[in-house]
Amino acid sequence: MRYTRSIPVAVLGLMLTAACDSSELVSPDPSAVDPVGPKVQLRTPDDEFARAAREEAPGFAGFYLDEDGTPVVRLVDTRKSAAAQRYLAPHFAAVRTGHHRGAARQPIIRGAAFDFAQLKGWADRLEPMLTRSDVFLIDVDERENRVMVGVQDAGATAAVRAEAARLGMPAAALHVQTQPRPQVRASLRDRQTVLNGGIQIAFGQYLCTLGFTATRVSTGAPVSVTNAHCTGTQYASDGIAIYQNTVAAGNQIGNEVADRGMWACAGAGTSCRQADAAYISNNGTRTTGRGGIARTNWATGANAGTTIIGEFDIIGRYTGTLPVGSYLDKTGRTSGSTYGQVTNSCVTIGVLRCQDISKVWSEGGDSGSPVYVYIGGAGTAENDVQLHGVMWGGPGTDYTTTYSSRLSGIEQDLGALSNLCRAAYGC
Amino acid sequence: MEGVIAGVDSGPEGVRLTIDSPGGAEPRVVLVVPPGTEVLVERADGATSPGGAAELVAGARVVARHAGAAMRSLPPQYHATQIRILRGS
Repeated sequence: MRYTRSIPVAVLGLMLTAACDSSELVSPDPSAVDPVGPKVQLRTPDDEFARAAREEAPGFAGFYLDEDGTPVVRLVDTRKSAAAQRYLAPHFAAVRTGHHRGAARQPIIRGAAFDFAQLKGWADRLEPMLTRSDVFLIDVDERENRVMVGVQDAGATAAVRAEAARLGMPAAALHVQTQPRPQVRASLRDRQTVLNGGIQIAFGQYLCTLGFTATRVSTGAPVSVTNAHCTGTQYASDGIAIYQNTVAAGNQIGNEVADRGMWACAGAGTSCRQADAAYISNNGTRTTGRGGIARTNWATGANAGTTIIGEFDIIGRYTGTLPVGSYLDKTGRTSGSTYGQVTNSCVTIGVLRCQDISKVWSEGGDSGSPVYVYIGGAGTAENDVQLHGVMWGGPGTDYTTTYSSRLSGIEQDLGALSNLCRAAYGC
Repeated sequence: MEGVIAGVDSGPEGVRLTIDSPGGAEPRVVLVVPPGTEVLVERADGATSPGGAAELVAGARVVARHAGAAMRSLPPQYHATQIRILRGS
């Protein structure tokens, strides 16, 4: 059982409801009312196991299922297993279903240094550490017979260890591990409090994707970039209202402030543009996620899903020539974070000059998606990317292929941009 | 592309037709019809005659040629190059 306070309370409530269906609310105290609502005490399965260790099965230290589903019972005194097995009999029966239908009925008994009530007591006393922003979760680890604390870094590790020592907790009863900050599993299609690339935007009857945020150099104003065809009129600035995530009261994030007609192009004498792009003002109702692109699972040649699992960090502009064979990535509200190789570089497609064609998967609704080159690296650099442009289309319903416009073309059409990257990178 | 006009909007770039094609790969698309796009009326006997924007109305069955590239909004948008309105078929 894990506890965390690094995610919103409402979401935590849902998680507890989903993960602890045997939890029960006990001893409601009608006099204990706070501004949010009546305060009740949440009783978890771990509370019950601690009670059992104190009252029904002395020395009981938890149980778990081995790889093949065999129950493993931890006991301080392995010679006194009868009470624990009696207590756990209904639990064993309940888990011998589905993939573990054929699991052994006879449990394995393993020794333990600490009983469950001790571990739960220490976990509870460490719980105030969760008020720190760098301490994420606390778990009574049944398999390892210790309290596990998930933290951000070495500083938090030291703080937790110091607090455990102050509480008189044996060192062997504590394991502190560093881990990424917990994140809510939101969808690219949800309403977001932070404007990052890759999230759903809407206007009129249409859905598209926000490309990236930036500052318009000519005005110093913050803007979001998406496709020109994701506004009321392609290749004309019409001031249409843009929303995130859906067209609804309170969801407007700005209006189209920059698009333009055709250039008189050199060569064939026809008119052209260099990017299917438009700038959208920022009305200040949302935080700008400077240099951030929402990240989902990765896929190539298929839809990657839309659950957000983190953020890519824009650390620079892609400045290469993008030779055929290069990899491009995109994140879009319909097909998530997908990648593929460039098949045609700097192509004229209709009126658009110097576009790129790649085997990046995209579907209807992905228009405006940020297109980037994955750099990657160790540790925090694992999310590093260089911004290349925005995607806008593909050949009909062949979703294996994507057409995209370059960042350089966007700026040549609509004006220079700054603050594209994470703050530390200065671009 | 074949379907039934579900909606018509006029704008500076021309007419936008919302086309429903139930059962198609894209059940709903938007055709952007720039001024000057060829519009034909095709009768049941196959004879065609020139048509105009006034005949692009909700409920009309149409077959459209387009520029090929899908603009991947939702619904997707296509630039029409020719529209045939099917009458009496």
